[in-house]
Amino acid sequence: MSLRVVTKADLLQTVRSWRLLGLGVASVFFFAGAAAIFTVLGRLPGGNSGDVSYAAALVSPLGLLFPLIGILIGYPAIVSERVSGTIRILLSLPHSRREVVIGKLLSRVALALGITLAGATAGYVSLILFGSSVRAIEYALVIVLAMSLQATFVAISTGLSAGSSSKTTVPAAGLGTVVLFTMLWGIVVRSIEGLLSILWTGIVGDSFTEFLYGVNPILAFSRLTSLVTSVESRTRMPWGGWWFPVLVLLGWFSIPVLIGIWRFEQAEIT
Amino acid sequence: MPSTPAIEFRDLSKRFGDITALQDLSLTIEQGEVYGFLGPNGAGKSTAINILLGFLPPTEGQATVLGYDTQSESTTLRNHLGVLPDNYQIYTQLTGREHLELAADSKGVDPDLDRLLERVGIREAADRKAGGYSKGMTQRLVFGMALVGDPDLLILDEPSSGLDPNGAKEMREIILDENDRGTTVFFSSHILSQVEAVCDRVGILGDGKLTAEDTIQGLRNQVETESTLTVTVDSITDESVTAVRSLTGVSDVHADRNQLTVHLDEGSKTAVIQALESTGVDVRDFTTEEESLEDLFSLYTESEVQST
Repeated sequence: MSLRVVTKADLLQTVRSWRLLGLGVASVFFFAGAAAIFTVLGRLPGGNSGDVSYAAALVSPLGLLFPLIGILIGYPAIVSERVSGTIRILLSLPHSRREVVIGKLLSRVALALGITLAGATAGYVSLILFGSSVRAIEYALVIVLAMSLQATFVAISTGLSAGSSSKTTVPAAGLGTVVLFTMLWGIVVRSIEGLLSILWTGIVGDSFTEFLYGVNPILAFSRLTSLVTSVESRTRMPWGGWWFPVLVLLGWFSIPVLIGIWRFEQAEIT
Repeated sequence: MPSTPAIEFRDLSKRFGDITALQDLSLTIEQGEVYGFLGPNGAGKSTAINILLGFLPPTEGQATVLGYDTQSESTTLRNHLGVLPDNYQIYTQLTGREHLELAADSKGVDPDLDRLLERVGIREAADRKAGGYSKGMTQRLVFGMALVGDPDLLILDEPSSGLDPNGAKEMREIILDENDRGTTVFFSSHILSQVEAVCDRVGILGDGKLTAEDTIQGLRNQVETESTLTVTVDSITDESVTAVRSLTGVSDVHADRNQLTVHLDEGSKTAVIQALESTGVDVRDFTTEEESLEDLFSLYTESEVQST
């Protein structure tokens, strides 16, 4: 009951804003533009020429773009309401703080899915119009996986948003997670590895290192897509097949939100 | 048999770091009352209300609303509440009607929204986005949200802020109507005259402490019997001061050159003049000054005013 009410109010408030409309338009242009480029070049800029399909070529750019969009959609969820004071209206009504966080998460995930769906449809239609061949199932599966990645980053930023009262910290920390997973993860893993090998000589095995690499949600997404596209994974696949990356995405979807709820429940609303 | 109090603060203190916002607040509001919570800005009124709403935990002590603990049963108790908080912001993209729907859906009720919009005076603006509302309209809208679902208790934080005198009067009338229906009303204000017209009882908060609590009539009685008499004479003698001081009803006498200031709890001013003249003093002039409720309010909150 409460969840539905909170989600509906958040959807009404955000869906009518220009920012969201802008994201929707950008999404359509991105997918349609990428379709045009792929039709002409046979690959996407920065992608591998070995990518045999539009869906496979999208994996790499989506792995950067969707986490960013996810952060942008999720970060204002709670903190902007705390800063502006609308949260005082919402929390004067019979909603628990947990319901407020989860309701807003649902709303933001729905918005992200809506934007992606509009873009992905535009991309599909463009490909057909340009006369490229499309493997519909493969394309749909990559989009679904990309949506899971995006939802994960919406959840990360909603969790951050619930856990802080500063409107500048939250987007900075959110963008920080994207930088961390796209650019710095290798350094982080090697640092942890080096530190542990100094402390406990010899016990840091390869499988542990692989585990550390594997908890990166963007890598998890990339691994899952290699199962549905006809491209060989560019990374090794330890820790079994599909279940480990699925667990990684689920973990990143839920743990930051749980921490955010816990922090929000302790927070003083002044 | 006494019913569950509508609101109860028990030895409640709230500190923010080194700053004490509330100290040992004990206060009981019975069901059916209209209670005015008075004090200057910064006295701790909003902190107390924020604790009732579960926005803040108390540092010490406990608060209950309709018997529910404000910490552990906050969500349940808010089902029975209508709230006009302070420092709020409405959802700019939602219309007025959608705000009331939000309140109704949250409480699981289905009120006649048009009637409610009419009642708080924003029927014409109901389908416009609330982001374009004036401060007064916004205040009416949130007051309307508070009325949704006929709550048992209305908690209103500075309800008349942003309203013109007419709007404030309309709001007072609605508060009295709601009270007639059996609703308890707890509202804060820093302006005494707004409380005076509707409250059964008032509590005055100064510097985080409850400095006075009485009925409006009680406060008025206290005020009406108090007055200050200033007498100008040719010269003041010790004998004349003693004579005045010995009169019943005189609470304080202060002499300054040829002027005598006499504070009276009760008793006659004529008796003071006669007592002076009987000691051989020549009375040249005298003025009297009645204390107003405002003076009393200032007196109770003075320490707060000085410390800020």
